[in-house]
Amino acid sequence: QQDFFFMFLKPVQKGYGPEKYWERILFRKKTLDKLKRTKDYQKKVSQFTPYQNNGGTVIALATKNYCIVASDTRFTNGFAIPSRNVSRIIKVSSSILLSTAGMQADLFALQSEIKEKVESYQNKDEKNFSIVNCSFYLSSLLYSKRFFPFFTFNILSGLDKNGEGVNFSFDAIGSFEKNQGSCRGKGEQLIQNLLDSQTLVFSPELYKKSEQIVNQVALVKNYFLRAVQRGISLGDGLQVFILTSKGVLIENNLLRID
Amino acid sequence: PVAGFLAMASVTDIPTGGFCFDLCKRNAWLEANNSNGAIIKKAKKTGTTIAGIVFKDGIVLGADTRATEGPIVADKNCNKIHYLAPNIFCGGAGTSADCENVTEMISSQLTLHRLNTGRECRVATAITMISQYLFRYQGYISTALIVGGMDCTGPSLFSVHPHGSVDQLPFQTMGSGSLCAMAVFENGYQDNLEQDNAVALVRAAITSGIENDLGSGSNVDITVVKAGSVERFRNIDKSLPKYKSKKPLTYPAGTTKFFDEIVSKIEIVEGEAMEQ
Repeated sequence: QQDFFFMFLKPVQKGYGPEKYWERILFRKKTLDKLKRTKDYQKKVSQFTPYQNNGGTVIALATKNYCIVASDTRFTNGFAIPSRNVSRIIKVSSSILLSTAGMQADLFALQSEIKEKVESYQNKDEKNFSIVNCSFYLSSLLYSKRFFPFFTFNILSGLDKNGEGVNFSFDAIGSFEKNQGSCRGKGEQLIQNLLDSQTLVFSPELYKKSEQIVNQVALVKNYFLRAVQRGISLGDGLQVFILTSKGVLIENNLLRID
Repeated sequence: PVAGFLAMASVTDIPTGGFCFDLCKRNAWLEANNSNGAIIKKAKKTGTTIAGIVFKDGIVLGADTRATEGPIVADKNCNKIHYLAPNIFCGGAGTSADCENVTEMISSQLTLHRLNTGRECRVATAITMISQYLFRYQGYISTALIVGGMDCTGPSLFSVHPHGSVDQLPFQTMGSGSLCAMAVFENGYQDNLEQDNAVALVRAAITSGIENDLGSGSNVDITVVKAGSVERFRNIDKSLPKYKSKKPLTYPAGTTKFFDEIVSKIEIVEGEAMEQ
């Protein structure tokens, strides 16, 4: 009777005993981790990205004894328009303007850091925070976030200690260059070459003809009018800041809303 | 079957039937192993708002006029309402080239059909041809169409998606601005509208798409199809710039410097025409 009973008992297979149980679990986890690291799996699983390009185009010109900064006021997210009335330029001090294109949240964070620094500097020192100091500070601030950068493309413009117009344009991680005029943001490729064609370096004769503030402001508005026809994320409104030794003049204009 | 990149068949081979997806596999392989993005070029998309509505006497189709190539406007005033038959028109969203070629091909097939049967085309015929053609290509031909027309069975409005599915509804919108336009339609649609009200509703829908969607813009086009007559309003609503510049951009002669100048005369000699 006992032999008959043992006939129906199946022998225990090698991989299913208790000592092999944990080995199997860990082996499955290892292959799963390896699979997760492959490119195909990552493409299928949707990933969270901490960055958003909220559009915006910023032009800044600084020569002689004035400085003109203009930006459009459209806030975009993909193909949608969450806001048509967003300001991208701030007055850092009485002689410095900071304008930024890129992600709006990072823009606010950067602006508040700069304002804080300028205020603390002015409380300690009698001298004003000059634009050259500000540009070096901004560069080191942006590079301090080298491995998780601010998604911002900045232009710092204003009047230096002698009252001459000065323009520094930055990239996302702090490299900067002093020039007469530059453009940042989604309309950069559309406008930069128009700006260059009217500067002292590239065509001095054209520049000398339109040296006065009124002509330069009209030119800047022209560039925006042209760019808005061809760039889908440009439009809605135009804000122009004109900085001279007397103060800042702010102009608000309307652009196409389509 | 398309002569595939990977499948080089000799002329004497009998062609096998069915689909040939060699090029699709090649494109997918290129995208996966792409070191510089210059290999894959993005097609010009229309990023559109198109809308259609059935009213008492027929159909109103509306469309915007902007064609985009990524973030740039490629054509500020293109025509998105295409002709299929004297009584059938369609608005197309998606890749520009696909829309144009598919509608032209279907239009020629419909002309042959008309000559064959000796009767006016029905909208259902056009829809059958389009949906069967698009299904064969499994959505790789990216066109979304709103087909509307008037035939012996009355007014009918159909929408075709890139994979070949068809809907018949009294009002439809397509394209990237479809949500904006559909909101206006849902708000204002009623059965058996008069022509003026229907045209006004479609204009409002397209304008909403133009203002609130980045992929649509510029002007509004309207087409009204009724029994025996078609009215086409090209650029019925134009979007004007809000600010005119007082000082235009000019580049006077001598702006670009040159170092050398060579002037040569072109001699005109009488002779024989070129061979074809």
